[in-house]
Amino acid sequence: MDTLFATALHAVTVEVDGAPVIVDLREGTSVALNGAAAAIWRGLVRGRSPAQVARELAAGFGIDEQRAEADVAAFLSTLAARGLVREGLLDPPGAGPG
Amino acid sequence: MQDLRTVVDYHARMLGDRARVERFEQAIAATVRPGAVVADVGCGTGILSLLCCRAGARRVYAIEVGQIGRWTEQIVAANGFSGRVEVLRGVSTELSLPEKVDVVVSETIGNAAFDEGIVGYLADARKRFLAPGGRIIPRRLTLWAAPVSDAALHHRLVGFWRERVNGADVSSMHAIAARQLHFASLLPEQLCAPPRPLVTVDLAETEEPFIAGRAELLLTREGPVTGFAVGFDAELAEGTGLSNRPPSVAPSWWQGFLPLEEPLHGRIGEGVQVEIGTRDGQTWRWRGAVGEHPFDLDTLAGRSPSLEELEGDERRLTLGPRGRTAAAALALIDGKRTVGEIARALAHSPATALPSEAATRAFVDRLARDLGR
Repeated sequence: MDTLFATALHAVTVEVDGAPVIVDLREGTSVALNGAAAAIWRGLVRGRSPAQVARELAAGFGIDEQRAEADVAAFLSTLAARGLVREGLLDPPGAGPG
Repeated sequence: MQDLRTVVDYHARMLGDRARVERFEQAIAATVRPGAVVADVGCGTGILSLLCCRAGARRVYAIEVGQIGRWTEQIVAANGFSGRVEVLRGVSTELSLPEKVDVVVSETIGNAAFDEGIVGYLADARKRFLAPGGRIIPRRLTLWAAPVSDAALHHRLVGFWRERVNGADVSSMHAIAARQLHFASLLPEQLCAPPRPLVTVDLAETEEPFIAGRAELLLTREGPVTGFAVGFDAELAEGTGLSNRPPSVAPSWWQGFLPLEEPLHGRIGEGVQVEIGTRDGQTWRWRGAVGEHPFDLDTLAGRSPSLEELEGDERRLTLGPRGRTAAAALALIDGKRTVGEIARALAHSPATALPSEAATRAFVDRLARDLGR
């Protein structure tokens, strides 16, 4: 649960009526999020680890941490399957190919 | 719609750009064989169509949706090529050609490479117009990026919005201004590292509307990093290139400028990483880090789109007041009524949402220009 995830470059977040919507620039589609999904996505956008997001989710929605962790893992799996997140943040400057 | 003076000045600037015309002429001479059929997508004044005829093209379909297309035929005629160039008014993606072509040429290269929609236009032209084995000019387009250090430029385009204007607070526009692809004419001394290629698109192959790339570089100048310049390296034909890297050899192009929300101080030798992606050259995202300071911006967030707008194909449309007025006007077009008669009938119809007869007349004039014949 401590692996960091970054949103994919083509997954842009816009706020519509106070809720996040993921716009997939590659596919030309969008996904409106609410409730726990919105909270998880916002955590990822802020660079939080899944474990941190789960703790915030548990506190915010009054659920136990185990269930929150399962919810975060399931949602991350869905996002990864759709190519909207990738493991790891951007590499530190100087690392990797130019 | 651009006013005519803007259109005339714009085309004079492009035709006066010797590098632009000469490089395309070289590429056309190397690509168009005698007897070839050519499609010139976004032909403007028709200059490239004329060059194709000079290279021996049997037939050129010169396609232009802009106002300049009203004069393209005259320019073609003045050069004695009326019998070989057929000017088609409209967007290439909405037109059909009577035959397949051997070459598609298009000078729809934007300041930021893709912002005039070249990838979409050429993907469509390749599929519907080009004969098997046909060729495309330009062949490849590379997006390059370089960090910019120019506090005055950033202030003029972005920081300015934080200032009060005669006491008025206009700062709500600051976040919008920071999330735009701006255009600026940049010099090498405004860059704090040399341009680096991010991604190359093969225009003869690509189907992908989302184009993205990343680069890591080291700052060669101390100072505030205020954003990223972006531009193109074009391979028009084998051995013939064109680029707008500062200082641009082709002055009709400026560069794109993707700003940071706030300038970030950079030291010589400090690492910068940047990822830039664009869909059809219209929506852009740029993110990365200057040293340890991250940034992440996109042009969509600044627009505050509605959910309906984001639904794309799934969106259910209803007519607004102007749409209902347009529908009523279209119903009055029968091939017999004049523009004036339609405007008068519409002005007295309960369907119109326009406030006066003069406004209704102007509305019908626009409809006639856009949709009539």
